[in-house]
Amino acid sequence: MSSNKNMTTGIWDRNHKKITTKKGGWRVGDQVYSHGYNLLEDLVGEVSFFQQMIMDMTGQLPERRLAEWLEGCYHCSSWPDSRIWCNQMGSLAGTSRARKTAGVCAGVLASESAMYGPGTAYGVMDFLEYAMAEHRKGVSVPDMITHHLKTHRDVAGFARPVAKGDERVDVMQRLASRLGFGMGEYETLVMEISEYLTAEYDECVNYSGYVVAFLADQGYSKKEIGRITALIVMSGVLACYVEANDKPAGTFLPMRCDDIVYTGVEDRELP
Amino acid sequence: MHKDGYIGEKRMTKKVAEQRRSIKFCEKVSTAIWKETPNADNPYHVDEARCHGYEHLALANNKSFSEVLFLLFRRELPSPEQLKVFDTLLVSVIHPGPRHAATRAAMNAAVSKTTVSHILPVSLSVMSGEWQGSHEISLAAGFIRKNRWTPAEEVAAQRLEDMGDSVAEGDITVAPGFGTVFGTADPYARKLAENILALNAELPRTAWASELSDALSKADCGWRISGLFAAVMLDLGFNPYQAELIYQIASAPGIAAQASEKASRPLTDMPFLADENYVIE
Repeated sequence: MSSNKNMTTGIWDRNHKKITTKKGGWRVGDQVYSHGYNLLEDLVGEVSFFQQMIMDMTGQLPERRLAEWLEGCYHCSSWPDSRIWCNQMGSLAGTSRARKTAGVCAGVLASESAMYGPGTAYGVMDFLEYAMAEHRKGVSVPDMITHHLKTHRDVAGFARPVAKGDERVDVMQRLASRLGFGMGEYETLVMEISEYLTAEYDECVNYSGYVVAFLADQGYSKKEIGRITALIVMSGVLACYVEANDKPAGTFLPMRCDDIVYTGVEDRELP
Repeated sequence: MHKDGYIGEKRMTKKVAEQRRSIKFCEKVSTAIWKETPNADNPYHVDEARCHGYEHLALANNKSFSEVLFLLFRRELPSPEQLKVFDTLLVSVIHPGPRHAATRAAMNAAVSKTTVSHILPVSLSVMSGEWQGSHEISLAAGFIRKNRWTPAEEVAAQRLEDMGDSVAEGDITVAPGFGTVFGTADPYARKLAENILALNAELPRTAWASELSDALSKADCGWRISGLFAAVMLDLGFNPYQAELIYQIASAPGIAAQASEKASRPLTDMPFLADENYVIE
């Protein structure tokens, strides 16, 4: 690589005290622009909130049925069980009398996890891109999985904590059908892999594996899929926040001192 | 539509069944860090607390915040030399500066009257990234750990060669924690590094990273503050995960102070670009 000495600060200078956007903005007394639309006149009441949300993340207004599928997708991931890790952030915030936005943001931040939730999308897509490339070369599912497991501990998109299997996949497939979506090549491959893993390892496709495959079939990139699913746990977290917040403070899973097992060093004096 | 609700020949109908895994979760939380002795009358109250064996009040009365911070993560109090390096490092990053995205987030939140307890979560979320953010710390620490046994000049040469003659605009990341900042090597990061190296403490990873920074200077690249923080934290015995967390703690005071300064100021105390400088394409 050559020296950088003559490099200017051009890209920063061009953006100095200036915002250039393709997204839109507010012109006071005129209108609110959103991706070339008049947001208040063209979009509000005409397109669904989920259509708007997908457009905000991808730049393109999707057809309404895709937004309906995504709403179902959020619905499936927002269940109000306060034992679920992200939901518990909402409950703990609620019982601590934190504001509702702090509660929901804590839960959403927690869901950016390598184990569950929207944080898994990138890993799943990395695997699916590998699997699809192998599939297009004619490599069989058993061979591609065997090769993959030589360098990875597991197959992203094909297992989940606490339970085996994921009934949300079936629910979402039925919704997709009802909305008129056929099965694309990513989803087809994912289901083939799932059948193989079920037979060989007793593990099958999880929700993230299905969702990422479906959205890949709609033409979205890894980054776009991650963004589209970013807030997927939001409503369940809020439900848990609300319930804990409406009860007396500190009463969500209170802990006594002896609920903690101390495993550290013995008592000692300062040197 | 088929009777099972599917449309299209290729759609599979095999149901994905769900069953609980036979795994056992613990009944109680365990920790080696903090010990609480319950009050005899109320088991939710504490009579005595200990941190890695030391009585909490004894620590409060005899040790500094940074010593106990070190103890919490490293399980032992720092030696005088470690404490000097640790304190110098913590103060080196105590304020990312008023231009940093996290600080601007804090100041904007303050003038727009955001709930005060949200200021640090907001700004530390902004700071969580890989460009001038806390996540770059653990990436840099991982890079240093992996490469430190290879001569720094060799690593620099290989990395620069791998990058080729890239003409893309924006900063160059030769490796996490090393590259350009706003187009050129960061002279202030270098200054902070030299200040810490001048302590003449046992800092082999930092010395290696300094050699790497020097070797990168021919491409006008070098230390980023994240690379420096990562290297010194490794030398102090912290792991990458801990280094990332402590960077957030260490940077919070400057960010919080900037928010505090703006809290009573009007909305107009922060810029709001005029329409002519907000270009909708």
